[in-house]
Amino acid sequence: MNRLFQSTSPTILAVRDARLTYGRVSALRGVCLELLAGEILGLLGPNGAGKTSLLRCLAGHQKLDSGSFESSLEGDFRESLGMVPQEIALYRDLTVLQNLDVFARFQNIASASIMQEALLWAGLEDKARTLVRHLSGGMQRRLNIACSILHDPEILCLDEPTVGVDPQSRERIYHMLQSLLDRGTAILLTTHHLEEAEDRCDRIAIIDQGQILDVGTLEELMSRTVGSAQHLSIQFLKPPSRVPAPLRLREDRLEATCEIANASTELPALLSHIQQAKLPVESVSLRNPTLQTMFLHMTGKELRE
Amino acid sequence: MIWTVVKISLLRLWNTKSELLLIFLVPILFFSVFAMIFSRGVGRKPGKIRVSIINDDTSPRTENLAREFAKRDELKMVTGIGKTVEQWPIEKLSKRIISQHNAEVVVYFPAGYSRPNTFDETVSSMIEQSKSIQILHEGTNPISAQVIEAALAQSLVKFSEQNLVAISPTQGLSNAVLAPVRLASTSSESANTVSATKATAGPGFNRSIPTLEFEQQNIFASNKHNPKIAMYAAGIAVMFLLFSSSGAGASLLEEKEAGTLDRLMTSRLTLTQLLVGKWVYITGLGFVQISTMFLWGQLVFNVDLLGHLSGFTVMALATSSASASFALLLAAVCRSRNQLNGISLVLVLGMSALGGSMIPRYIMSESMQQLGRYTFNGWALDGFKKIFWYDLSISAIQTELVVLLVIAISFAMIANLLLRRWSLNG
Repeated sequence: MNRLFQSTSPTILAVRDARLTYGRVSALRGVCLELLAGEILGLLGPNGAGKTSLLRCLAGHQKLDSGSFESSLEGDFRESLGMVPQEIALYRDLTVLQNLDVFARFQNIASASIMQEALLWAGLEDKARTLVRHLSGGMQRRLNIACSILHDPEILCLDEPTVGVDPQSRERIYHMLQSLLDRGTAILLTTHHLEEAEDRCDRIAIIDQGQILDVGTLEELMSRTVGSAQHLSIQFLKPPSRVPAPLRLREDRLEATCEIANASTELPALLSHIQQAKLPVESVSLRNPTLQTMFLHMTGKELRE
Repeated sequence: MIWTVVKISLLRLWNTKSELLLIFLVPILFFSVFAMIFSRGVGRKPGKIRVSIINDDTSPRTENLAREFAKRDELKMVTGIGKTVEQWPIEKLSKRIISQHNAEVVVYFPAGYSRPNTFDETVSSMIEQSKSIQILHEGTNPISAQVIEAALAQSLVKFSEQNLVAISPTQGLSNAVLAPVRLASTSSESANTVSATKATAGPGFNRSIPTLEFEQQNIFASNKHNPKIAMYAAGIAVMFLLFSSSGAGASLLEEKEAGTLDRLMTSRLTLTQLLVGKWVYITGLGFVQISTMFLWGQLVFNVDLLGHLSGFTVMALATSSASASFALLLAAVCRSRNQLNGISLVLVLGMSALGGSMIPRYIMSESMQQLGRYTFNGWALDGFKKIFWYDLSISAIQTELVVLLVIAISFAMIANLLLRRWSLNG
């Protein structure tokens, strides 16, 4: 977590009742969302939920049917906005340095020091004169991000920035983003990687079918949905005839599950009942609630559907 | 298994409409275009030769002959029958008529061509001349002068028959008199006598008809190195300019597909700046491409580029700029690179065929030639022709320049309007 962000940080960008339709398809259905200064907000949702549409509207590539964007920044907030598209939006037949140069010029900020800084930041200093098409996927992703922050934006939007990259490159990208957070940049990123949202984001907004279902920290979301109950699962060697409440046998009758609010008191009691009934236990597992559990609870479907 | 492989290919083809277009529609389209060209415009009459007549001979007979000649179906008179004046001798006047009135041939009856003779010697008086009928032509159409000669000979015979019938209705001329009698060609390449045939009149007119002389002159080709090569260079250059411009214009669509366009549109760059930048690049590229082609022509085929440098530069710039706007408009209309490839191929080849880049327009029918005037290539080639063939100054290509610049400006403006859908805030 970055050190600048606090839950009481002021709102830097607000989306108010954003609506957008493509023909008969409603991409955004009254989206309301606030991005706080210095935070990293994860927009989590399955494919087609409206994540990219919202970012495109934010960047101005798409016009909202209704609704608005409000920002505490002076002037047009889009001048302080960096946008990292999902695709590798680079000139593949130019070198790394040439790409940085042209995109810096389009922001009226071409200077050798800025480009050098960007090269270092993206860890591409030894690839400066390499053609983009000769870079690895991870390096292209890093350059893709570097080209979007040359003008030192106060808000950075990233659309699935880690799609198709290996864990090492993903770690590198989050390291880069962390340095931006440390400088106070507010980051809005879309993802459908649950682990990323859980581990990297200060707050998470759940979006599905063009609507924001809930926004908050992971703990807040959990407590508002599945609560803090832990998931208990007991595997049996032979199907028992019955199991003590609140355990419920699953269809295969070899596993029984239940949610328990207080493991320290409820789990010993349950295990004691099982021992008295002489049920043949193979294994016992206790899991904390996950984002996946919460997402399933909220939307009734798996995130990757 | 094999059928599955075939099925995949068929499905991919069906799902790629531009490829379907290229495979099935384009060949039919081009077959139709060339069939129309070579069948002289869907069965219509062949293209008329654009002619002007200058008659300095005051005799009524020559005037009548000129009027008879002017009525012929294979000719299109671009001016009335005129005369030379002191400041405008025949060669200078012919050049002006050809370049300004788009004539191919000027037929000149010099003063004293027909001496006043007794009425019963009409035929011989018309053809027993010391002076020749001059056929001054521009030289791009190699058959125009020959057609004019034949037409003149037939007019002369028809005219003479009418007069002879008036004298003696039973004593007409035989068809043998139709033969053109002597041809003196004074084109730049050579002066040669083609034929010397004597014909006799029919029964009752049993006297030998003396020779009739035509003098052909290619008034533009003299003192030039390979002017036709210059025209071929222009034709090919304009066609490939359109191809390369379309390809360069497609970079707009590539930017859209690659996502760089979105990135550009979130920067401080405006759509108009983007379009102007693309336009400048495509125009510059086109200019260098045409220049390279002509420079090669100069070095290898003796095309006189340096002798026409200013006119060439202006025409090449105008052509390149119009071509650039055409390319941007195509990119604005199309939704994908594939679509653009298909449409540009059809348009460029179609315009090149009709506009004279592939086949000289003079062999086309009148209607096809008119259609060619609506093509980009037609206007560009007319301009290059005036510069390299007619040796005219820049002021003489004002019309072509204006048309090309209007194309350049209007197409660019339309492209700009259409591409607004890509710009910030829709």
